[in-house]
Amino acid sequence: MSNALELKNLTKHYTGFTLDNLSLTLPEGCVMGLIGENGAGKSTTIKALLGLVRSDSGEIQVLGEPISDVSTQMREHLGVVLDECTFPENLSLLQIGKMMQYCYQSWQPQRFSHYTKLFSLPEKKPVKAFSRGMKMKLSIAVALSHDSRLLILDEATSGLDPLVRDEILDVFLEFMQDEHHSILISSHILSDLEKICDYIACIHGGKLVFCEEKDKLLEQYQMIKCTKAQLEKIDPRQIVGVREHAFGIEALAKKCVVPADILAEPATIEEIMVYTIKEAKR
Amino acid sequence: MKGLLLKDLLNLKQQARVYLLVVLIWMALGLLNRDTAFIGGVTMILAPMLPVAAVAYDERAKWEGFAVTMPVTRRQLVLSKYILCFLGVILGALFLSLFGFVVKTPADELAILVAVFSGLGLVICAVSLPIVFQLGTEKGRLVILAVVLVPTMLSTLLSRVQLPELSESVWQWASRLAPLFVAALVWLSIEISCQIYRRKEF
Repeated sequence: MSNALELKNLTKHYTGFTLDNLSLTLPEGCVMGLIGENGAGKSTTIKALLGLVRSDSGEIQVLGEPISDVSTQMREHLGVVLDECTFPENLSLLQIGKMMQYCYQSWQPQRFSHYTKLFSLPEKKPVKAFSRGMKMKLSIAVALSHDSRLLILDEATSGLDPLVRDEILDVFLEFMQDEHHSILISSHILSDLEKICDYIACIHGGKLVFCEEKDKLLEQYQMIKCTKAQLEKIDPRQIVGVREHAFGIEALAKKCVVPADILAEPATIEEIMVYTIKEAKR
Repeated sequence: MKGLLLKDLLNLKQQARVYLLVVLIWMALGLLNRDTAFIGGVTMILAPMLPVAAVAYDERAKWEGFAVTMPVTRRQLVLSKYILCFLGVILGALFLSLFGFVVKTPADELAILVAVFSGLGLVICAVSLPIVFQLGTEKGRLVILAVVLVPTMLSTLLSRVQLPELSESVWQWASRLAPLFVAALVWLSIEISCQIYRRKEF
């Protein structure tokens, strides 16, 4: 199985921020979620692997080609949604479709009109009259209407209501029916990522905190609810992070046997991220 | 390339109407004193305004960041703006010719005016586009204004100074070399813009 994306020791310096030695691999046929706080380096990572910013060092391979000389042919297979809508504001949907037909050799007008109807986007309104949600949907429709094999989505579902997000996640899952298709998606809505991702990569302060298969990640951790005294009975090496509040303690711990009087529940991706990053901050 | 041009033309459609109105008002004013050279100014202004406005729209929509991920090269993105510039010059030349025809400017005089103003339009484009690609339209516009103002002021100053009369042969040489000079300048400008754009981050 080949890799859709490969980042090796990616480094990029800005004043006040460094993306530090980041390495990630997204195998073909998989969905990877990129998580982290605002300013953690998610967008910079995405920009670097799209060639929008030049890295200071490191190697980036997209669909098997180094990013520095990805051919225009290969870009036919790259579907991109950036965190802000990027379409000319005076153009309508029909005009954008026409323009894209000239830009992408593999453009499929029927597919574009299928998605725009599915997302109930108005055909003749100019883009500037679109709401944020509509703009996001338009970007997604464009990304899916050519021969995309790899979708790179930066905050593609933010600003959308839960129903539409669910609809879009279904569209992504449908896209993943082809085993050669892959998705890299960054988002703050971790419940969305939990639904569709195979891998989760967490970045904090420009560094990779973890990159793991989602199921393994969920298997590894548990949430513990107990008192301070009960917590002391647990091996401290198993505890990742602790939060104290008036009624007791909540802690993220590695999966281990805990005394019967302690309440242990499966952890969510959100809890794993929050506790791990808080710990990394200390 | 076709797609990029189509996008710019559709995007500029609304603004083009305003341009057209301005040109028509200018032409009406020009009709009063039958001054064809005055209308020549329109050519000079119109040419760089189209691509600069197109870049401004691209910046506002953050289009360029997406465009470089599409199957088009960065060179094509730059060239599309120059083609827009040539379109502007051609349009300006057409308006100028039409006006000259209406006010019955002698054909040889009109031909010189069209050539001179189209050349000037191209020179302004050649100078302004690399600036806009480097600095963006917001800062770039100010620099372009300075770039256009300085030669205008210099020529006004020079016109007050008595210069030695140029001989006929010098004029002939100048008129032959001018097109070559403009072509070389445009070529150089394109290469510089491509270099700037190659290094650009979004």
